[in-house]
Amino acid sequence: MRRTVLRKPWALTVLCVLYAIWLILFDQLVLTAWTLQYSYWGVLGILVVGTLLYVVFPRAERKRVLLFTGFCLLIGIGLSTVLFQPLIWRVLDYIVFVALALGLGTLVLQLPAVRVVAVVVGLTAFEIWVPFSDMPLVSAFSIDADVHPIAQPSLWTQVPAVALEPMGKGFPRTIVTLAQATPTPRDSSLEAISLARQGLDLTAPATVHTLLNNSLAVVALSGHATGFSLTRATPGQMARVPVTQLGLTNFPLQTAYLTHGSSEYRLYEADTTSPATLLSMLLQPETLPLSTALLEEKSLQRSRASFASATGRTVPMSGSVSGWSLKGGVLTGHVFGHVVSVATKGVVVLGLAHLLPVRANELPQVVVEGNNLIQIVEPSATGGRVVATLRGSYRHPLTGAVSFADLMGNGVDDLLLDSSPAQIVSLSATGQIVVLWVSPDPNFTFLAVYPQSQGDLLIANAPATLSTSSAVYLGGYVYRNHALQRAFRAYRDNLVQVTTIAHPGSKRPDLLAVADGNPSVLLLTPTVFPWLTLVDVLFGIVLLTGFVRQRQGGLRRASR
Amino acid sequence: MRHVRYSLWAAALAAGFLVTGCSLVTAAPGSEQQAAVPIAAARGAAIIESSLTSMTKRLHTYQIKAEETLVSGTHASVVNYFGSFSLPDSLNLNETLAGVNYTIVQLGSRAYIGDGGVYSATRPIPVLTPWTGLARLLAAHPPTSVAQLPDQTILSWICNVYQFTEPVPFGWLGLSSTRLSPGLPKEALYTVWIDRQDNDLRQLEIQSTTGISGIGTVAMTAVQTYDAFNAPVHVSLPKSIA
Repeated sequence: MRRTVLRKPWALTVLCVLYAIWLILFDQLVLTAWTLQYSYWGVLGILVVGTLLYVVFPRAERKRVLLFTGFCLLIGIGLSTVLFQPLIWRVLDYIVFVALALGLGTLVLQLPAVRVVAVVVGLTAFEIWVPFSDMPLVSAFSIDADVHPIAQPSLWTQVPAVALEPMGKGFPRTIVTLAQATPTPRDSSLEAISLARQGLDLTAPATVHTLLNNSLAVVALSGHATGFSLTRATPGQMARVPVTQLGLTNFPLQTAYLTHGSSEYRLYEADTTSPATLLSMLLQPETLPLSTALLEEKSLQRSRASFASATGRTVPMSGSVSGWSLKGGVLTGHVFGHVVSVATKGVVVLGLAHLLPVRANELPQVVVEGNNLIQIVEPSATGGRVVATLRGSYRHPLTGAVSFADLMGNGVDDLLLDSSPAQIVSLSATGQIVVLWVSPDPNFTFLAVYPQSQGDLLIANAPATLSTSSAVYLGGYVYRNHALQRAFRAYRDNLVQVTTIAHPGSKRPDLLAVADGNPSVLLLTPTVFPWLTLVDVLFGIVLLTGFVRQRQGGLRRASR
Repeated sequence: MRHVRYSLWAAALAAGFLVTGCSLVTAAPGSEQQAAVPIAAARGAAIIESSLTSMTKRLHTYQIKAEETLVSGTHASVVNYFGSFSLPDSLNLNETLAGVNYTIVQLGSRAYIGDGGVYSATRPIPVLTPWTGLARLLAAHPPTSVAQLPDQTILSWICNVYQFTEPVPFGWLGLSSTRLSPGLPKEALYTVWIDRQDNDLRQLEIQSTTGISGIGTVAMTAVQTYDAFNAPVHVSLPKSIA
């Protein structure tokens, strides 16, 4: 045992460096990336694991383990502040920091100077890659991000991004979004004409100029074999963009107007009504619900007219989804060549999904939304019927943000409702709506569905709730045992739109996101490297070391 | 002793896997809160009407803080208000709309909107007392039932909380309900906070939803809080106008 490799000084140095890195990584991940939120569990976990690490080592070495653990944490946290100073201060601070670390390590911990330097260098290299203070990069452990910066004005708090559905089957390859780009003079003149045609009171040159400077270019982000490219949106792409998805950034308080110049589409917003009118509406609570509803209709009608004028096409009052459309509450579509009409309370078609077991009906069901209600329509060749109605409440209204996911991988979809709180509901074979899951956090938001054969991965924005931080986390969850089990979690700036997108360079679909606070478009690829396993293995090695040290102590005592 | 060490080692390894590899489902703070159970308040409508009448008779100045939120899909639009009123026709108020701060000043029949220090004339706001319209609504359509929620404290006032639904009076805006879009709200939920001590209306919340064609549900919540009753309020026109 005396000749074991662990007795070699170089081996112990390597072990110390690995332990230091593991410790920083472990603390970072437990505190930020792995727990559902900044969690008491995470803090408790660090305390428990730290105590067990301490106990598992022989009594004579516990003090040194404890001191070395504290030393590593001190160095790790200290480096996080030193490494990201401006250049000259970084160099000076680093020199002073290494000198202090050497003094502390050699004099207090009585470690060999080489070992202290190795630990400091190891942690430095690690923290350059994953800074302790820089949470976004912690996401490197669960998701890779390919960032495409786009400039967006800071005033726009909600930037829309519309995934263009492909003509055939498959995932979208293009999203249309907004980016800040200076308008060309030629487009300016066209825009002035366009504004005048709309009959708006915006003909004063100063007003037009101001609006142009505050307008955004409509851009398309498309996937190619070599990556992604950002171009101006084309008329063909704009013909497939619903006004209700691109033009509702501040609906209905502001109305979005689309204009088309010689080379680009531009979108700008103007107050739907004057601030004084809004105040007047507020001070009349007896008519506020109705006056607000009328404001919403007015805003949407203006946007529709503007989109129709810019794209040269008729913008229908109600969008059509997969051949199904709504007019006056009547849902119309085709089933086996027959035109089918079903009376509903819906005002918009949300989509088609196999909500009933396939053996019950091989046709997908149509989901429509009305005023604070969702109805599921079962079409058939002879007609169709509303099989279920889900109603929202005033406190928890249903607001149209609905997606579908095959949670169990059995071909049956469930509804993901981004109500507050978010819910997952299922439709039973008898037409009963069953609530499968309700978010404990009112700010939890479903963003996208990532298809997997064993059950879809649900991508969500999960806010930090322990702290008052507005930070939100990108989380991937699977539904198991009546709960959402976390598959990955990564810090990202507020992602306003995430969509599953086909990436020609990848064998499987990726996630494409538009970030809000950090104006950029992100291509997110779930990491395949088993980081969790690696950290677990390292933890096992550290414990094994302690165990071996205990055995060595026992053998020594026995040999005496 | 050896068994203890083995057990300890196994426990440490298991704890490591538990903390690092497993998904601990943790509940968000506050998720254990129970929803308030409303109870029927037989005299609720009378208490509310008495409070509104008292406000109408007694107040000549007050301060308002309000927020109106409109949610459609995952988008939320918010407009904030904060200002003072000198009844019957003067006010000085800040309004934040889409990140832009406006000042609204009204003195008698003259009203102006300020944007970045530049003022422009606007039509005067006719009604400055929200409780007047609410009282009118209650008189025209007495609520069939009023629910009482657990007492709440608004700023420093302990308040009784009442909740009721009211039909939307289409005719009051000169509209006929039969010719309007089917998604328009038919009714709205009103919640009032009435000061337990002096019976003043301290807060009013209005909630409604609309089904907009092509969009779906748009949910509206407006919360207005009133204070500084009969405190001195000085309203003057901006120097550039005066």
